[in-house]
Amino acid sequence: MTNQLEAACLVAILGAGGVYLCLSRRFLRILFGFLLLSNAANLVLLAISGDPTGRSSGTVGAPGAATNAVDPLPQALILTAIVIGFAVAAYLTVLLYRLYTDRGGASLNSLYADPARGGAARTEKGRLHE
Amino acid sequence: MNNLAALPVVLPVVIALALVLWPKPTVFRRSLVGLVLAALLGFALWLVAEIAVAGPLVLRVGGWPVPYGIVLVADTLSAVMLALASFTALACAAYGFAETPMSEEHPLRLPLLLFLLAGIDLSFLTGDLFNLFVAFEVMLLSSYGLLTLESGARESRGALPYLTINLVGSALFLATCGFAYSLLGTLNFAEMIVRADALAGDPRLTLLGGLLMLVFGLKAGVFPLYYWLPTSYPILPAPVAAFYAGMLTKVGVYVLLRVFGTVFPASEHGLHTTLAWAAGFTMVVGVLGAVGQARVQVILSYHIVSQIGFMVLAIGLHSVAGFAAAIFYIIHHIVVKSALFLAGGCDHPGKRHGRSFSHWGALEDGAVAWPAVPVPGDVARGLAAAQRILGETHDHPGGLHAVAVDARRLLARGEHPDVGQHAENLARGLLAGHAIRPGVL
Repeated sequence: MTNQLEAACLVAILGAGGVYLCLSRRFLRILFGFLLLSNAANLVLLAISGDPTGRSSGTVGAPGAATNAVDPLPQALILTAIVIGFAVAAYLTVLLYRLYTDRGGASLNSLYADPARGGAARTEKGRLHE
Repeated sequence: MNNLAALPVVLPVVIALALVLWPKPTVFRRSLVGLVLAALLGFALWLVAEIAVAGPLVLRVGGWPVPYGIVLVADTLSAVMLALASFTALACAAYGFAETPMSEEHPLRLPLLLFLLAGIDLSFLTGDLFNLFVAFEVMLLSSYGLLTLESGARESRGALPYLTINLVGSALFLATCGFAYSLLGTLNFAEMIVRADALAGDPRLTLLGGLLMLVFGLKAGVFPLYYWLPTSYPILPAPVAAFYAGMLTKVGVYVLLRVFGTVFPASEHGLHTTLAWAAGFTMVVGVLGAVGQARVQVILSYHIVSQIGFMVLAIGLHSVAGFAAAIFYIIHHIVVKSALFLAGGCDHPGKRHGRSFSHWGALEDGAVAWPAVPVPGDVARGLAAAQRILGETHDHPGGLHAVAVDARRLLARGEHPDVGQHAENLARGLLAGHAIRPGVL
């Protein structure tokens, strides 16, 4: 039971942090926010297989696998989800970099400012690594 | 025989991979894509006929027994949706061939379109919640790619809201899959129906329903999670935008129909009522959003939001007539909305956003006719009207007025008795909703 509570707390922290970062204006924070969120979702799946203490792994031929195994299905789901999350993170990184080169700023301010008038777009330039 | 159920997914993926390997645009490449899409359309139509005679086609992938493995199920509804997806893709690809010279075609546009089609087809066929997540991701990843593939520096920012909201939605969907598995012990739709019925009245089931509503409502563009739609669709080139407008949000509606029409029992009255209210707000807010816009594709995008509301309202009513009306209107909407986006592209070839109404000269004709066409009359009439727009917009906008009159006459005659009272009400509501726009203009 305690293991499950820890997992729930971890999911809550990761989820809250991810949402907070996703709502930020900086591109890099949006990226990290998404990474935290997808990890929170993966952890939910992991927690679904139940408390692993005293149970055998869900592989074929493991001792006691027939009677006392951890449910292997959620782990198969996580594996798929991690791969998909990886692809999406790669695309998000590329898109954010493209927006940085297109608009000359690494935050939402540069997206919704008129580049012809300078202003926000110019002041944001070079802040990619902040 | 049952293996054929995988064809609409496997064929586009194989061809798309081949197209990635031979990226140089040639006549052969274009005709290959055209042939494949036509073959898929033919297959889907055959599937509709076959299912009507022999019952649903069920493919147990890997031969695993039903509650454990992944199943692909082709019933009449999925076969009809498959046919619509292939038809829309074929029309949009053909439009793209006519619009873009061979030398200017982006080598990745056709492969991504095929991947997108494969993802859409898989979401129509899958009988498993997690496999649905995978299908959504295939679909979304291709749509992210297409969204920014040909957009210029000024337009690329429209992709960020679309991407961000869908990323959050996907993470939530994944977690919801986990909750569904822990609560129901299965992710197979057919099995979920039985177990959800046994759990009727359990607050955890209601919570699960709420989460699923949030996830699929977001994909469908239901209020209050619709703002990404009108910012992202207009940045696409016309043929791709037409495909997005026809198919993508409708996948969300289709899944809402599947999940809230079958999995959640009628005793979950609160869920269905919430869905209906959210749909009601969507109907009104979408149309009001279009009021302040002047560009064709932006207005049409807001109208998609509003019309999604009509479909979802019919689902929220949770009655046989409601479902019939929803399916009927989905079919109609896909064909007509795609045709309207293509018409918008015709009006101003090669440019995004479509032209502003003020350039049309006959402002009032245009303002009345555009919103009046996508009225749920009957599909053939809608198509004919859209084709007339396709033919006539370019030359003399006066023709638009005739279309509007035509649509009104159609409604006045009430030429759709078989769909029942709900479709009738929806049609009247839609007309009233769209009358707001010219009124305020």
